[in-house]
Amino acid sequence: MDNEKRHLVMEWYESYYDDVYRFILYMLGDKQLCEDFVHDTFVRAYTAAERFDRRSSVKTWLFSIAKHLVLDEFRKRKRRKLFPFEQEIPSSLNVEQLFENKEAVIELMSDIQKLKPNYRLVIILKMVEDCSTKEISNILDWSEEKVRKTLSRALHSLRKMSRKEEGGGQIEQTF
Amino acid sequence: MSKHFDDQWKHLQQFQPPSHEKEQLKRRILQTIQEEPVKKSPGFLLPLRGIVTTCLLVLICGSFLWLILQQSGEPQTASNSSIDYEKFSWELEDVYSKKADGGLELFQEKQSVPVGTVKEVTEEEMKTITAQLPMYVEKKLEHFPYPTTMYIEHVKMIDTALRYHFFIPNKEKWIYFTFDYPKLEYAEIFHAMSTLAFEGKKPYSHDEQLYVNHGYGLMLFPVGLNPYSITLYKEIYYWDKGSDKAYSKYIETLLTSGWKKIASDGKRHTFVSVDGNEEIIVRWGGKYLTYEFDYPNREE
Repeated sequence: MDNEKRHLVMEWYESYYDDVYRFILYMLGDKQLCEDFVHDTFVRAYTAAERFDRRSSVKTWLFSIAKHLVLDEFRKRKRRKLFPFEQEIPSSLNVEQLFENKEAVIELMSDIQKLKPNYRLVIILKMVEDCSTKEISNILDWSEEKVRKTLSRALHSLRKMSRKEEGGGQIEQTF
Repeated sequence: MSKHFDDQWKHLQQFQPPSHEKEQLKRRILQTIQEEPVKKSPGFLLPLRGIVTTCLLVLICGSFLWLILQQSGEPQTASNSSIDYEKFSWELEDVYSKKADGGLELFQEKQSVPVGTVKEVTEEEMKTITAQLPMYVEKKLEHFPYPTTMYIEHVKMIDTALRYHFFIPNKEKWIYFTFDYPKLEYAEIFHAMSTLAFEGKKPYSHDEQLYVNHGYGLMLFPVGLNPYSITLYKEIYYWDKGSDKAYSKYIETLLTSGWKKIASDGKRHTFVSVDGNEEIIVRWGGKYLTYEFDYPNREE
């Protein structure tokens, strides 16, 4: 039984490692932490595998586990450095070596890190992971309307940031 | 759509973590998974655990019986005296007190740092505390078990953002509790104070639900909530004494407290603050009270 479960989780790992890794990396902007969180995501998937009812896809389910871990991390960071009226402290970006000579990509990632966590979640799931609105709504446990609204606001914020920095770049809403 | 940005998103989409890391991490996950059953209690210890628990129970009950018998022969001198601040209980089960210099320290199970303190202070000391610390809120808590005045101090410490101070009159002195947020959640702090009971001084029991604000927030929360999951934009609480009726009453109370209801769907209600800067969805189901927070006008 345990062997079967282990085998199943390792299959999921082979299939979705890249997606989960990217999602966590872009959410946290920290490579070292990312590896720990990918580890925790698959370990949690193993311990909760019996409860996975397959009403959503495996990928969606893994994302929702990762989302919980990431939001818990934000909460801990907030607890460590928390003062009630301040904004979420952006994570330290230590991923430059992953995107050598791609300054614009690093800049976009850095802008994503400046977004509030809800915006980050929705924008990464849509723009990077190419999830549908329905999938995002399942992962985040939001209504589809809230997904659309939040995505639109998130894109607007990104657009504003890029205008400030470059005075002209455009990121357009894609749905 | 700008090709420039299309390319950037594509780079982010196409990024693949190094394959050697994938293998390393796989080994780490497998190792953790394999160690997992070791962490569980071995089955053969279960009967032994039962015996140990029974022995402990007998020992504790025996000690209590012995104490009662010892004390029954002594004259009762303290019945009319002031409250002994060290002898109290509450329903916040995982927070307990330990003797410390000049009073008690409060600890939460599995935590090594204190989450609060209890001591007795004079009127003068109370005035000094409330005058010298940066208190942002002063409020008398109506219908709590004892007449209680609450202050909230803005603390800029690495592990504490707010410190709650509660003062309860005790003859010419004050029993003084402090709790640190976020070492304890707001709901836990109020759960403690709303179920406080001193030995020898019966607490007042209010027959209606009490509500409080969490921190500086405007939203009212019922007291008696047990935090289940607290994240930045979503909070889930277990409301032990909650019911459909209590929830309806709660929603009515929110409407009279200045929040405007903008949408409703069964037991899910969306409220907006007077200034329109905060939107909160409140949901009730299976004893769980869920809050989702949104700040539509917040600038990034």
